[in-house]
Amino acid sequence: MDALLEEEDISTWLPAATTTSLTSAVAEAAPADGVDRISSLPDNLLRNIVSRLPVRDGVLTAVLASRWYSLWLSTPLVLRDSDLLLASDLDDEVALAVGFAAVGCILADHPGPFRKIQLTCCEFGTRERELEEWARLLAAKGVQDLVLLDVDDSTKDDVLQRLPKDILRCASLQRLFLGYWSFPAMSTDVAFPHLKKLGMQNTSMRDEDLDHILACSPVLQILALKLSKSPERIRLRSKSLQCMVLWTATHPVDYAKTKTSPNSIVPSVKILALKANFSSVNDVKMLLSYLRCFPNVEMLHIELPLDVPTVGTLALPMESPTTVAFSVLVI
Amino acid sequence: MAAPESGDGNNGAARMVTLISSDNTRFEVEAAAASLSQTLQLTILDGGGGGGDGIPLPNVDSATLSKVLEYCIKHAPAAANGGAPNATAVDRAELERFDNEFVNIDQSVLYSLIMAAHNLEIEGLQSLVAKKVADMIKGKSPMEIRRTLGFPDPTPEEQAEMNAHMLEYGWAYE
Repeated sequence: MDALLEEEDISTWLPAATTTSLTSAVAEAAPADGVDRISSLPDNLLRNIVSRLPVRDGVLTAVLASRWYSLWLSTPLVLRDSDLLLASDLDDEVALAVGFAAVGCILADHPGPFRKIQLTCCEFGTRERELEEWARLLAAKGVQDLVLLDVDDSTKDDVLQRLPKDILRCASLQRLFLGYWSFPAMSTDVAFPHLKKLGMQNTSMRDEDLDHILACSPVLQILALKLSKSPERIRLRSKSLQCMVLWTATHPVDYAKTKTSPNSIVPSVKILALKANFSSVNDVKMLLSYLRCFPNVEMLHIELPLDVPTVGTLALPMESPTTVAFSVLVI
Repeated sequence: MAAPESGDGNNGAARMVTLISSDNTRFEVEAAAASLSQTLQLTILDGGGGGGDGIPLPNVDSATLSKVLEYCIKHAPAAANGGAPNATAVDRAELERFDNEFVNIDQSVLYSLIMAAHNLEIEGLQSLVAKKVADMIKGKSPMEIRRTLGFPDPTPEEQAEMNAHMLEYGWAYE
């Protein structure tokens, strides 16, 4: 049934809080005879080894010898900016600036393809020019898996940095997670022909921006939204969507606005996860109305806050005879 | 080489095949274990390796082949389960323990193993060794990596080049 969940636990593919990972060195004896045997291996095997290194170690092998430099350039790039920083660096402005510069160098030097780029430590507040350039590089070098968070909290009043338009032109993307951005005025050239998973956290957008993205993502299977203020209305029009994950951060989802109509039914969704706040029986009833939009759900996850009293029993409006696995994450 | 008790009851007694190393040592092993090699699997499906024939492996010496087969025999039951989705946590932990112990060997043996795994197309073994070598490199300075891998000390020119590269990324060399 839930092949999607088997393939990957959806709760883990959203990026966690910044983790740092300068791996501690494994104590390793030099070869007893000091002979360089690794160089006798063919390039494809050495690339297999290089591809398993965090980016900092990968860059270090690139400075060993010209052969290793070519190897690093011809291994699809996996870059997590947290791999370039020590835990202690996170409060150190200079170290962060050095890490930021290193990310820029690597994105510029490496010819692609970019298999996975995860930027969760960068403050883009005063670096609009670099941000535009990076976005251009990500699109040009075929990024497949991108996590882009703007951690800049120096700006007040919820002013979010504008997401560069080039991010919406990364046609090679299969997985995209965005956090703390405001959407640019949409142009028509959004294209995500291969995008299977999309997550957005505290990213402000107009209702029609989400519509447009869904319309431009014909193979999207998983949509995860952690909402702040917008979009105000989520309209799911997708034939491919199989799993929907929804959190509410600062405002509860107004289920009252949910109307079941042929336009709002998404029959392909099989897994639905909601984090919600039920304060009255009415809220529960509204949730039921919302669930009618997903007639074929096989797995429903609902996470409730601990301090809210139970206001009623959920009778699921599922008419399909298939077993409904009803799991409440927190009661 | 002694074959373990067969868990495969489909064909009665487990089918055995003979592999011949480059130095002419013969290894008799269950077909299921040898079939972890994509290359050998095709030959075995065609009925090769049985009887007195044996499959010659001119690129793999006996020391390496014996090690490769040790891996294959251990991993064959899980592979027969299609990547072992039903394996218990205990089984998985045991395989992990075996793998960690298995690659705790001299570098020269590691490189022979990864070459053999590559030639015989044994994906799991190739990944296991590649990961081990990557772990040997992780978290070290360029000089430590050079020493670990047995590279000769850099010439002054090479050292200057390494320095320039490092500075490009904002890092000081050593």
